[in-house]
Amino acid sequence: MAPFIPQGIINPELNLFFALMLGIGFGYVLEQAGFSSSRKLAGVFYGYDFVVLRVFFTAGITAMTGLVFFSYMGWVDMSLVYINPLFLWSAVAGGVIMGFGFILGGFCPGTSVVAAVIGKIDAMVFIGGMFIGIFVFGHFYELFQPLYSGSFLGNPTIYTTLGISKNWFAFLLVLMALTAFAVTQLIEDKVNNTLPSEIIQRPNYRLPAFLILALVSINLFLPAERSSTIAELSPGDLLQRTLSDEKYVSVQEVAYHIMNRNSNIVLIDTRAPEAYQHFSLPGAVNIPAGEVLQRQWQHFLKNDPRRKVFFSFAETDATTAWLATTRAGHHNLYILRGGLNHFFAEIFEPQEWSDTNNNVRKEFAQRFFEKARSYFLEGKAVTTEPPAPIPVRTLIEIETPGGIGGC
Amino acid sequence: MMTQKLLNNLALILFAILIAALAFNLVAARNYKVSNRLVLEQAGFRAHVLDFADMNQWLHQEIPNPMILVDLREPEAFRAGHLEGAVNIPVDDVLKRKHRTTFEKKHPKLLIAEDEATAHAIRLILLGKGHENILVMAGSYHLLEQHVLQHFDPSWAFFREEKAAWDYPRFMPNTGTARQAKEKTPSIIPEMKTEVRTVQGGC
Repeated sequence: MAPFIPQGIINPELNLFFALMLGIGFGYVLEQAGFSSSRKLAGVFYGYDFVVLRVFFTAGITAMTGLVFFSYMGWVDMSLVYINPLFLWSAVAGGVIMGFGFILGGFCPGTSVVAAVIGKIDAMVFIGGMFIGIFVFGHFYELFQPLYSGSFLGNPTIYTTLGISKNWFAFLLVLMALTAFAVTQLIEDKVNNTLPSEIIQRPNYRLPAFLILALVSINLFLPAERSSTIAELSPGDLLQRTLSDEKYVSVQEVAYHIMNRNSNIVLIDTRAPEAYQHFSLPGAVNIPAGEVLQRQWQHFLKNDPRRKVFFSFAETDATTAWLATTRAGHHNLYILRGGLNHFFAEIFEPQEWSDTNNNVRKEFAQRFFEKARSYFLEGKAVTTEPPAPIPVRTLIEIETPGGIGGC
Repeated sequence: MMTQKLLNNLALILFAILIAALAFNLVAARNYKVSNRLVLEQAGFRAHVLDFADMNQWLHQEIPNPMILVDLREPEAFRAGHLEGAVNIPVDDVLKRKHRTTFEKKHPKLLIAEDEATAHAIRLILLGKGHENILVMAGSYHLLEQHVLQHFDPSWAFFREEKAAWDYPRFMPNTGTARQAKEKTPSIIPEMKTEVRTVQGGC
């Protein structure tokens, strides 16, 4: 259910429910399209019925066009879309066995289930054969293993292999599909000796074909990477926020947070990992400034309700991280004023306080800094007891490669 | 005929929805010319920062390399003292149309501000707007005046704000490495539970 589950719109726990719903829908459509008939399915090999080719090619180019536009508009993250890993020889062997089984049995795995459900005995036998095949493969796995996992060529896509752009590949594929539809229709009519009067009565698909070709043609003129999106903050607003003092969190506030550990603040160290490992403020997490836009941090930056305070030695790296994430449309982001250098200067460099004006507020401030100084110098900044447990939230990171797909 | 009409209407509706969504998406998009990711990549590259050694060298060249000096401070501060040939564009005004030509020039543009972080932030915003070849001066005009213009102080030659000013672990002795501290206490960000979702294709 991408993009709804990775974006947090739908609870991942409902995954199986949606899988069931989609499965029922898919099965219904297959059956209604006549794919429970092995004669119809095998027709593609004999030239009298190319509906299988048309249905799957149409589904492919429709889904592709949708994905191309949705990813351009930022609705789908293409890096999350699963790409089948290529094990060359097992793919070749699997393809041959699948094709042979298809023409022999008249089904592919999905359609055999659809046909078995409506009570076709040949389909039930086909499924039985499939399970015997699975059992044999599992039992003698070690024998097949070199072929199964050998010649691994990564997760290539056709357009990178051909060295053309994604947009041009989409255009060429649609062109190829439409040509295939026209040519197979001609073959079908010739094999079946279809009468011209029947051909005239058939619905024609010129308008949908023209529209999908128009869409992929428009796509050719769209740049590969968007320079800006709707979710981002406009340059004017970004400048205003950059110049505003509201983006700062004071040294006192951060010191108070560290000393009491009950504040609603998350400290984010934007320096390099080496500097972070050498020293960091207690409880801080390390997200180097150059990595703040990486996918792994987006859920935290977007959804954590606490105030997220970036800091570095001074303000440059923290400002860079703040600017990139603020432009990306995240909220509740702040910068530690003056960074670590200023934090230490405030706390560990003795302040000169005037005793003459008897300012009570200044005395309070002085007392606070003295308390902070002794707190940090005596090493109390490190927790000896674990802090109150934080409610655990399960985040699911969907990793793209690694599985075995196919039918 | 009914099926034909339904098919064509459905195709037209879907086409119109997609085109309308695309048009809205393009029109409503923010007015940046360079993506956030590419801007962030350029931020990490430190060659765009001129420190006081570079400034001293540049100021003492007989024929200085052409560079546009953009002073981002307030007009009062600019009037009180600035580098010769500098143009004053206060930070509030950097995106104004009248200053666009300055940033569109081919020569390198050096940003001088009250502090280094502000100059960096303005540089990133300008990069996002598609301007190129923008440099940042380390420190501030005030420090430049003190350590270069009045008398060049070599100990400040490589000063940058974004450098450690303290031996931090000495002052927070028991914090140790952040990693150790992290191991002792539960992470404040919930642990990522990685679940590999494999997709089974079907036909």
